[in-house]
Amino acid sequence: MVQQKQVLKLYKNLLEKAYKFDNYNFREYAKRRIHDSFKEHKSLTKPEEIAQFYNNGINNLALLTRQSTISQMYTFDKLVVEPLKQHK
Amino acid sequence: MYRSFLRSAALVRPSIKLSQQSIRFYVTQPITKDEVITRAFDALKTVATLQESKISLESSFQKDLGLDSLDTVEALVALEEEFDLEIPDKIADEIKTVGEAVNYIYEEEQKL
Amino acid sequence: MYKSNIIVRNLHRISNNTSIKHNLSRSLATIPSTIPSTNTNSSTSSSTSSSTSTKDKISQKDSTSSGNINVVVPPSGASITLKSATRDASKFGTRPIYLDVQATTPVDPRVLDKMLQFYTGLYGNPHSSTHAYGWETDKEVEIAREYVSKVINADPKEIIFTSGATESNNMIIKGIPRFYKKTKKHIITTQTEHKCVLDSARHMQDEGFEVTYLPVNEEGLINLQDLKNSIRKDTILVSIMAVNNEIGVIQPLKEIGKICRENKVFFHTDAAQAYGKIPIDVNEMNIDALSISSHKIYGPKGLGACYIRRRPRVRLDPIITGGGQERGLRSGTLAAPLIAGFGEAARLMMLESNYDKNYIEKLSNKLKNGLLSIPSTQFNGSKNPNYQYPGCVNISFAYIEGESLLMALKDIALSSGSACTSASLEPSYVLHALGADDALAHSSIRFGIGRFTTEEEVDYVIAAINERVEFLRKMSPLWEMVQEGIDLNSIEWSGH
Repeated sequence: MVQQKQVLKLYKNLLEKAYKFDNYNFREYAKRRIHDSFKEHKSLTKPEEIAQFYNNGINNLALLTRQSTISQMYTFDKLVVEPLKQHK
Repeated sequence: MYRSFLRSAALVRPSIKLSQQSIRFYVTQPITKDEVITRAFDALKTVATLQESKISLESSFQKDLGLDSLDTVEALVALEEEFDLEIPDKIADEIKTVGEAVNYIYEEEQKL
Repeated sequence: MYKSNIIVRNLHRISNNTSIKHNLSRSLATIPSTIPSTNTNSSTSSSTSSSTSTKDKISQKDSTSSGNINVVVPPSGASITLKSATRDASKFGTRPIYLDVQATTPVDPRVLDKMLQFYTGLYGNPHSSTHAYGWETDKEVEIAREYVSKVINADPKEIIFTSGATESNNMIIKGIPRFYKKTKKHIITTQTEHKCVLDSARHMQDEGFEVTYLPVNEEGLINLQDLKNSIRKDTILVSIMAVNNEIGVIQPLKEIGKICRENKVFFHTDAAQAYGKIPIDVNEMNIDALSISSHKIYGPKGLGACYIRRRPRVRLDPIITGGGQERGLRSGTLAAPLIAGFGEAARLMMLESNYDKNYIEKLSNKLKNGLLSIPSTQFNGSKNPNYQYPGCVNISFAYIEGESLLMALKDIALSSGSACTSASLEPSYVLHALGADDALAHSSIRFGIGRFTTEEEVDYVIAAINERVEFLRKMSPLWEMVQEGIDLNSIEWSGH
């Protein structure tokens, strides 16, 4: 049985990884996709459905970890819509 | 931090720039409370559910801003990313209003 | 910087004519690549004219070099930047926004993740049947084949991997007629096809086939009655693209397929821009052959596929022969990493189909509304959403040259048409086929919206285009005349 706390923790971890994409378009997509996916499945009640969604998320977390790391290894100039962060 | 190091190294240019960035904690002025507030508000605005909301220090994430548990997580992650720090779960559970989050961040920034 | 170069160049010229060439090449190296190469010609030719006295030469040089300065400076439009009052450009990045997804799409990180396994561990040749390295990649290739086939409701056995949609189109348009050449001599296609289809068709004309190029209406759609009338007893193939790459119009595939099946003619569709983006069912639509490209669906470049129906069987003469892979239709070792990536991309197109569709539609409508609110603009394509793919927005900005607008839009990666033909400055033949005149065809720009386009980018583009169209029109004498109420058609232009 997957607890609400676990789901929220997964959501947090996924979002944190999404932020790590250096590529603007991939970063924004990942944030948007994660957000919309969790909102879409918010009303799941059957434990097996929740478990499936949760496990899928765990797999995606591993993928995001790998891919956001790669994105940080190959960086390019920021896009014209991206503010350059002075304080970082 | 690591990234900017790589990039300036790739430019084969200024060691000056490099040192400036790597010792920023000692050079820059400690962040002011006002700065924390503006940056926190800006970061919160990037959260989809908060784009249209009126954010103030007193607003409670769940009661006033109408965030659900997912949105609250999102708001906290946005703040963490903006200020490059991690809010431990225990403290995150305690934070109920924007003001409380700002206070925590301000205190953490002073410790640096 | 340019000036100093030129001065140095001139000094050299005066002192020693022979060193000019050497010096020129050196100074040119410092000049940005945007300068037309004709510069070098003009200056060297002027330097070789030795009839004038040295003093005259100097002044002449000065005049040519000042002429040079004018030429050296990039086209006036290129220097325009978004120095708008609304923001400080130095606080933002410099890389342009990518709005050219019809040309190619970025590789989805999920696709790359799949592919990396093949560049690290799974390196076996899928055709090696004697060991586990071969078996494991072969298994993955077949999984990918299944994903690719599912998108169009085909059988995995009907999918042939190729190097891309261009190869698929060549293979089908040349291969099918060649196989049936004893009895059939006629091919039907349209005027707005992709260059590789048109060129293959032209090739078949050289081989003795007759080709009918169907016209399209002002929305880019073919007339079904035209198609019926064009089918002859010796027609072997009808090739009509699903989604047009320049204007995004969707042809009535189901109706075309029905006509073809009734007349026992093979129906091929180039679905490079359509695959995974609009619903396609090869059985319901009676499609006999279909071309697919991987890099248009966030997959790797260098791979495509074609669907070739098995029942009733479509036969063709293969172009590439050899080891007999892919049912003997396309020999050569399969590129397992690319195929796995392509399969993953196809799987994602299915998985994300609704999500992507709604999102792209939302951004597309926003962009269209934002741009069509500019006066004297025109949307190219179909007004009927059933016949228009929303991710492709082609708009004409009257009284402006598309190329100069593109120059003024250095911060947005756009195209005025197909990437394959954009090397030439010819106006788009697709827009011509729609009945647009040269001026309109020249002033059109294609905006491509995809999975990774953000709303923020669309907002930026709307603002930037509004600003710069206004700017360019202020410089346009034609626009001025129109504002004064002069009918441009009434003007008699004097030729030179």
